[in-house]
Amino acid sequence: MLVLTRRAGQAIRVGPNVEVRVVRIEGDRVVLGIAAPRHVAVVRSELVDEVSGEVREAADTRAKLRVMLKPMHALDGPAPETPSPDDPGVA
Amino acid sequence: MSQSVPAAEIVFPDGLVGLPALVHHHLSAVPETALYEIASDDDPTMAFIAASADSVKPGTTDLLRERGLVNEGEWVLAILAVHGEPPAITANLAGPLVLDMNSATARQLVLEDPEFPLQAPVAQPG
Repeated sequence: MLVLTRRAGQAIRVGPNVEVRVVRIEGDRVVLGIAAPRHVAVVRSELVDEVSGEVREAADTRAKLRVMLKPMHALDGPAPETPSPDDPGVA
Repeated sequence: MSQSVPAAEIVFPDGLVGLPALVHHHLSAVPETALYEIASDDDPTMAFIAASADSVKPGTTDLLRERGLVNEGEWVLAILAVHGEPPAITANLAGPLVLDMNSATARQLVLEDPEFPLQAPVAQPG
């Protein structure tokens, strides 16, 4: 891992299009400003872990969800067809 | 209306977020609901139910398209889970699935936005 020392107002570049700037330092917190192209996902690492954990939770609770769905037609709407390339209504 | 439909094979080239080995999946409709089941071919224990993200949060697809995260013709699903006691259904809007049925490929996004929570409540009748 590359370790750099930066002061408030200073920045680093990641690749040609991403800039990470230290906006300010507040006690033990560092406020960062990140400029990146729209297609580059910038997220907190813990959020990635949370999303992954939620996927596992969904798999673990699938059976319970199926039981809950039995007496209801969840999210009222017509039964879906599995989308296919021939279905222009997929979007 | 209930309709039996054949399953579609879907490939997530990068796997799911934090689960990169989960590449190959099957998508099918859950009978008598407006929901879908996505089952991993790579790990039989990993299967989950998903709903159209627009049915959970209307306008999601358009908003993500405006942000350049979803392309024309792609389709956005939110994975459902059960939390709490009494149990309640929630939708993972922070990690939506984006499907391109033309190429039978998909990807999972991670959205750093409070408008798209990890456990969005799903309205239930009764």
